[in-house]
Amino acid sequence: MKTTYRFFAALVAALTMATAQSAAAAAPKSPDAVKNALRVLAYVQADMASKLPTHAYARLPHESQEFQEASGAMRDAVAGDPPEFRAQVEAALNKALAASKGVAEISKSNDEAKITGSVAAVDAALKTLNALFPQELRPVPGQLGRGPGGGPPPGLR
Amino acid sequence: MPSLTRRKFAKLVCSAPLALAACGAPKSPQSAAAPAPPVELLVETDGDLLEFKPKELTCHAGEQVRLTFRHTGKYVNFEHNWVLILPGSFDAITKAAELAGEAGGYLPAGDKRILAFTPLCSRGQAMVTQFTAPKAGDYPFICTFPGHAQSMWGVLHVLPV
Repeated sequence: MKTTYRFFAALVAALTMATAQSAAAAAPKSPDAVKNALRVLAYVQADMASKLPTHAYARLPHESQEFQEASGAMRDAVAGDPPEFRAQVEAALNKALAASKGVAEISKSNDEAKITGSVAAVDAALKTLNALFPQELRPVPGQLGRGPGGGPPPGLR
Repeated sequence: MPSLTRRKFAKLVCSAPLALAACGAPKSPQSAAAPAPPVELLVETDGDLLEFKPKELTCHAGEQVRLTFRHTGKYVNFEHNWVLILPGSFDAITKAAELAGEAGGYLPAGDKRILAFTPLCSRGQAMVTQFTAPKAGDYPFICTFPGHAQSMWGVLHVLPV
């Protein structure tokens, strides 16, 4: 009797978690457009991060501008979705945009630690945005380019 | 200086294309064969993604290639180019491109490791370059705008004749 009770309790818990997850990551009306928009944003963020090792901070306001432009792809991608879901996306997107603007501002300081932190904040905000969508639509970190470390494989590099 | 009457001028203008055509006319049977038209290749950006589409192109060694590069981005005002380079020169070229800077179009001028290129283009633009395909082998092509080549690259497969 006790075992049966435990089994059903576990089953109910698993079902509840699955329902909660599917509600949190709603299937959008235009999955291809969403997938593309998330990838565009991820590419711009990766491009932003690529300026850190070379200390090319003067380029960061430009990357921040590109991030603002890329947000248009996300807004268009969810244009056909229910207003409540759009509002969730808009809120997450606005946080990412604010973080991106922060990068442009902080880049002027030439403070490596602060700049690195601001770029990481964009990455974190993007993760929150990605989490609103099903796993299969999210960009896979490190798989945007091809080859180890990006660029062509060693034979061609 | 002799004066040019309206009639003489008209005659001169009308005969000019004929004269030009005669200059280009075949003079011997050997030159009668028209050169083969260039092989047309098309490569685009993958929309706003930092990727080329297609990622692989093919031609034959020695062929004249006319390559069109189209920037199909819609949202982000990225600038991109298409640059064909010698295998093994990726790191050196991307560094040299960054040093060339915006004023140099992010291209190291006169670098022998660059086999063909288009200038930078913006959203909606297309650029054309024409070149003779190098000897058989696999050649990387990249966008030399700083940071883009990490994901924006492809391979031109040059086949033996």
